[in-house]
Amino acid sequence: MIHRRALLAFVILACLQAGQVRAERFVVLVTKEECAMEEMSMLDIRKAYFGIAVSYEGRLVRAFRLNDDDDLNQIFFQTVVAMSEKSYERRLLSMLLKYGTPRPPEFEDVAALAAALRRSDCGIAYMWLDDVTSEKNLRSIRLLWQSD
Amino acid sequence: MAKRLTTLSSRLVLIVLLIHAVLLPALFVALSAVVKQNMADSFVDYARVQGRLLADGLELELDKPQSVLVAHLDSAILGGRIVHASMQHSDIEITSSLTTQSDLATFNEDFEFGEHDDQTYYLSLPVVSANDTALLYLGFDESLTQDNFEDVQRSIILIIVAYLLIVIVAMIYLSATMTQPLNWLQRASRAIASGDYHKKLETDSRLLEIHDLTLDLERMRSNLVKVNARLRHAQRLESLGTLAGGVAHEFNNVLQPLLLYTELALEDLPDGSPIASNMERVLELANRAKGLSKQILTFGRLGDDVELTVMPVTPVVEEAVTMIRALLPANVDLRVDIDSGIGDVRCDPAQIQQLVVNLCNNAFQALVTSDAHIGVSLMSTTVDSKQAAQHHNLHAGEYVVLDVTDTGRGMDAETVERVYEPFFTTQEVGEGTGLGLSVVHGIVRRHDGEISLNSKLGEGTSFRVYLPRVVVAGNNEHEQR
Repeated sequence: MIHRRALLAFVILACLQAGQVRAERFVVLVTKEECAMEEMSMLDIRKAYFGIAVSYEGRLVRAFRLNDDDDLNQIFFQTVVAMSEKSYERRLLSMLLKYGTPRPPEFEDVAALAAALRRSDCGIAYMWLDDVTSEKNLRSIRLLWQSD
Repeated sequence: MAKRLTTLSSRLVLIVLLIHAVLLPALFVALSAVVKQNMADSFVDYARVQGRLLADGLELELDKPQSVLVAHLDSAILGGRIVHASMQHSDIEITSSLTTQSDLATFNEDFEFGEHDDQTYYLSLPVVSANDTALLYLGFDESLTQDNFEDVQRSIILIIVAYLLIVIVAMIYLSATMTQPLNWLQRASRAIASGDYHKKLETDSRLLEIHDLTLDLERMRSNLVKVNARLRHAQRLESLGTLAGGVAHEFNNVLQPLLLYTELALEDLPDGSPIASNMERVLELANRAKGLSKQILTFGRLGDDVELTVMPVTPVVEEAVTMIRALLPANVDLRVDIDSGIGDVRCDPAQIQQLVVNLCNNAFQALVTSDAHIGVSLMSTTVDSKQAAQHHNLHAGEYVVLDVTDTGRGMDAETVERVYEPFFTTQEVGEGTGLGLSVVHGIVRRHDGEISLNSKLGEGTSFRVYLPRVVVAGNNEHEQR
């Protein structure tokens, strides 16, 4: 487990290092420091963002969305849920009506999202890597996108 | 500056074309935008789902040999609209053997359809496995969707052009349908203006406005025909009056010396002379001729120079009715309804009495059954402009109305037309002079009144005489007109 965490840290640090030269940006999946979750498959991430129950060691994983950045949202639609915004909204509504799955909570700023993550049992969210480093008690668990 | 005149049909077509010239381009732009947005959304959905599926598959095989990864990338290109598939894995670029664009320098990530002018929708996805991380770069061909969109645009243009043609044809037909009855009415009204007003105006148009316009014009034409007939009738009577009056005047000039010399001759003849009885017969016939001449002069309004005076009309008519009652047989039912104090008229009482007598006599002549009756009524009324317009010599104002009705044999239309002509009679030769109603007409005209009649064959006749009522206000008097 520690090996994997070190690898991800290495990759991200390597990317950050490269970014200093090429000004690259990264979008990562984050959770709170106390959550023991080390990795999450794209399938589980997508399930969580469609409101489908995903658990990690018996704890329900809740997905949160950040709405303050159009670029970040476009990356979320392109790489995470893999559909257009209209299709995602339609799918969410359809699942809500069919199965009663809850819509992921949405936040307008990073601080509020970070606070919600810290309050949650084991929540996940996507954000710019720069924002992760400025928030306490959050850590990234997966690279979601990187600029070319 | 003179107004430029256009036909209704050309104006309708022009307005419709102008409206469509404004609306159709806007409709085209809006439709194109909606269609393009839908097609773009579908394309983006497809690209993202395909990318995600490929990335998910590669996550499971990331630790396999490079040839396996290339095979996955080749399969992606063969299976859909992907034109570029490559991976950046541990600083090594793995490219599909089928890709047409191997240089990642052209990669420019898109988040919307057609964001960059490279006809390719590029997206990148991290491929994360248990021990490794790589980046997947995919490019989707946008040109097919763009071509489809242009096809749809062409179809929309064709549909709009077809619609516009149908609208133009429909407008031309509709305007022709609308203007046809208007053109017909225009021709008919021009014919009326040129004197040909005997053709009835009719239309089979189902448009309410045109139907109503036709009815209004037909009403005007019908009134024009009636007014024209009344005018011609009045002119004929006027001419007859002038002619007959002139003849009667000359005839009177001959009669005066004839009467004088006959009377002188009778004075010179001894009593019992057989010549005297013949001369008396001459005198009697000359007096009769004088009476006839007087009646003709009355019809022509040349007979009496007595000045008209303002007086209550009720006693004059009552006196005439009393006289009539005495003259008529006892079995004749004479119903009288005279309002008292209905006001004054400017009149010659002797002529008013003659008028009543002549009308009653005419009514009596028309009676055929024992239960028939004659009615005489006198009342005051106010004539409005609408009523006045229906009569030649009537004006809006206060009038005294004398009605003489009978339930006799009535008259046909031809008789009604000629009833005031002198010497026109429906009686046997020798039974009537045919001057009674002519005299009545002359008296009414002399009093600035109007006479009208209603008659129905077999049901009776009603004469109505209007005489202007004189209203006395303070020391002034004036006739109500």
